[in-house]
Amino acid sequence: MENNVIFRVSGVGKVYGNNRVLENIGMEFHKSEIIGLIGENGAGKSTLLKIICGATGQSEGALEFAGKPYEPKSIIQANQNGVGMVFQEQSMVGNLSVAQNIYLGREKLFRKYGVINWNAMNARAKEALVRIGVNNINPKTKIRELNFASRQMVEIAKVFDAVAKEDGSPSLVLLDEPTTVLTDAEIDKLFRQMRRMAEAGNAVVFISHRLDEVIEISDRIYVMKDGRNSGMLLKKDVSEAILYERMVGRTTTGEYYQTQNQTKVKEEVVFECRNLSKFGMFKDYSFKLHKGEVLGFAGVEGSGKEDVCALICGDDDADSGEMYLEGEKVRFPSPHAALKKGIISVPKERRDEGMVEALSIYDNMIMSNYEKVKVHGIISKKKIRNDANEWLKMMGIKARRIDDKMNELSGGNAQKVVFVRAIYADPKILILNHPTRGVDVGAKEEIYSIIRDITQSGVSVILIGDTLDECIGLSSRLIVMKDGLVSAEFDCPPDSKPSQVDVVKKMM
Amino acid sequence: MSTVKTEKRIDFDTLSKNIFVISIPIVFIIFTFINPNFASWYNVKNIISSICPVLILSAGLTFVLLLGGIDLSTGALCSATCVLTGLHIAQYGNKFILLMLALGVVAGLANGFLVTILKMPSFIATLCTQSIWSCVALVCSDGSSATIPQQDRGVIAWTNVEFLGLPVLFWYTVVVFALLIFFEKKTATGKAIFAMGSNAEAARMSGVNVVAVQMTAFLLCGVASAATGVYYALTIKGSVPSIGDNLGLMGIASVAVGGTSLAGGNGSVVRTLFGCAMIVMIRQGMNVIGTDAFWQDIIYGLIVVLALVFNSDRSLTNRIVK
Repeated sequence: MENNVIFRVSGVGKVYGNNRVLENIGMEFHKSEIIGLIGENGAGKSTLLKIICGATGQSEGALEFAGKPYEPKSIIQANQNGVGMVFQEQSMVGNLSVAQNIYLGREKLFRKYGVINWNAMNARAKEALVRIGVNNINPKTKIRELNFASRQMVEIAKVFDAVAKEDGSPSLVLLDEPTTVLTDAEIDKLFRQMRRMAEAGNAVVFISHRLDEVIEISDRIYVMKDGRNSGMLLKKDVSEAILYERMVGRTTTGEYYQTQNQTKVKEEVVFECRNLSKFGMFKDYSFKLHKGEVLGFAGVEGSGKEDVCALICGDDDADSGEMYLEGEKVRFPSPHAALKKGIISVPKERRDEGMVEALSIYDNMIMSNYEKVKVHGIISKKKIRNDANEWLKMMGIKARRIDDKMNELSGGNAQKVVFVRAIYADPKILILNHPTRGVDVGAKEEIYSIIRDITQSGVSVILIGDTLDECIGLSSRLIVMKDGLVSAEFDCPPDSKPSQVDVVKKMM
Repeated sequence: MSTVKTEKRIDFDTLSKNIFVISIPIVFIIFTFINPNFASWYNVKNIISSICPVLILSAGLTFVLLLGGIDLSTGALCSATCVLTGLHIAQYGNKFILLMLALGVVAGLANGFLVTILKMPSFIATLCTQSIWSCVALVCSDGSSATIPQQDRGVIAWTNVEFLGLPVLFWYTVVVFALLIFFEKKTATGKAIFAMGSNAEAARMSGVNVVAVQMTAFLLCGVASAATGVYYALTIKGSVPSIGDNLGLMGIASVAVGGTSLAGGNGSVVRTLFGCAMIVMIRQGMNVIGTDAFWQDIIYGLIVVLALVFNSDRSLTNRIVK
């Protein structure tokens, strides 16, 4: 058994600032084995994969490959070692050919006297494709002329080729949700290929949100939750029910989410969507948002929940369908237009979309509120300073002065400034996209009470929780999305919240 | 530990951003040392008069650069309005100036349209409009300079008036400059320019009307360039189609030497005043000490490079709006 192990993860942890995302992970991948890896969003799967494929380093613990310590400094080094990953987002260059993509960064292999032998490259690319069972792709075709499924196959061929070693010693291939863009027939083909890879003595790790697929293909399944390894199951012991049970993270008490202050769902409808559709993202999406409620959107990544939010806050436009704000038909060509009607968002990527790091706290607070700090039509520095100081105190933002630059604040304090900016605008609807992302525990609680306060004052909130637990805990109602469609709706009164297992079942 | 690091970085930044405060007196003293005439009232007045038109242009340009964009068409637009004003002001009177400013509005909006609506990189868009406006200048003037005939100069006699020992156009410049400062500090658009210049995506998601803000910046830049052209026509009392040839780079240099980040988000119109004073003083100084004309351009180019090195991006404003 022991010499069957080709890759071992022992005691691996990862900490970002104050945030622990992985803790004491231990796993073993054997020769000729297909391993399934599952877990909710934020369970730490992607971080673990990034560590294994060399994209980032671990904070603690050790990795071992083929009996030797394994410390890749980059993805290329990992490839040379025999470890490769097929990323979820495709990383192909559209206007290069299939062969050029497969050997991107490794053109040296075909170089002689500084000139690349394209014929040799094309021939070897063809071999690489045939090896994974793809016969109908010409290596000279440009990537952008291929459909998504074919691109995915090219990507897989690329990784398989990059990790294959001259001496035929085993390699490890990681596939991060490779099936999302594939049809059933193509999935079959991919699975056959994965089995062939495994039979040749390699180990294949397969990550997917589709549990039935994972159960079908895997010999063993590792389950992760809350950054920990929550179990290893053999194929014969597995059922979907057991996996759901193992996957859901800890459920926190209602007190933590201050459910005693949760608003009751009122009759009054503030906002309504009817049959919103956006090609490739979601379809026939309809919902009603009541005054003062927290409406949670749940779903795995790519289920369309974020795309719906982008639409409501004016970041994107729908293909079809209608939106009504207080009975009036609306359309938002830009976030500016949405703000004018009283809809504003706290974006997911705080540093990129939420705040301007190089400007001061007060400059950030007024960014959505220039009209509010005008006196006689002129921006008043005095009013800005007064208002900003008041907000600073009211929100308990820890900063020396309101002149401090945003990049001097911690994640939690910066997020509170972003909240001030949004609340200061007196919105009717506030869209919170991962409101507690990268925020420490203390600030999380404060943000929860801010959410309770504003909903009690009548603001309606649309929430994408940072974790499922948070989404259920904060929401008055919950809409679950799956593959761009609404798969379920839950009422979440304070005393009878749906269990995470029930919700996850509708997500996957 | 981290606080110490922060303090240090701010110190270095402050130093490089404010270096002009020390360097202006130093440069002044050096030139005076080489040629005492440099400090004469006649020469100082001359420097001040030379600063005015460059200042109007570069103050307007500051807003485009604050957005992280660029406007290369300023000099050419200045040439075009100078030629048109010189040729026609005698015939149409002073209201022609308003027409020229309106032309500046149109030119600025055209640049803004190309950049915001058609999403062209501002570098390319304004390179094209630059070429258009220089051709307008050449076509209208037949490629040669002309002066306003002596007998027709009655219309513009008002430009000869002096107030407190300085020409009336200087005082107009002061007013324009004050208005631009007001725009920068006291209007929503002025504030939004800084937010957009530092992080366009965050500004957009915050509900800033990004199209309007960019349009306004280009519009102000266009009007300022047109005003500069009119200024030259009035002081030279003629039309010179090549007047703006070096002015575009000079404007950008003035803004950069003042310490405004060319990557956007950081700087001010007031800084541009100092940058402008510096650039013009060096030019004038080299004339006074009798530097060879070819050497002047070499030294001038080196100064701009040096300014950009000092001004290179060490802060967080590394997101460029094109």
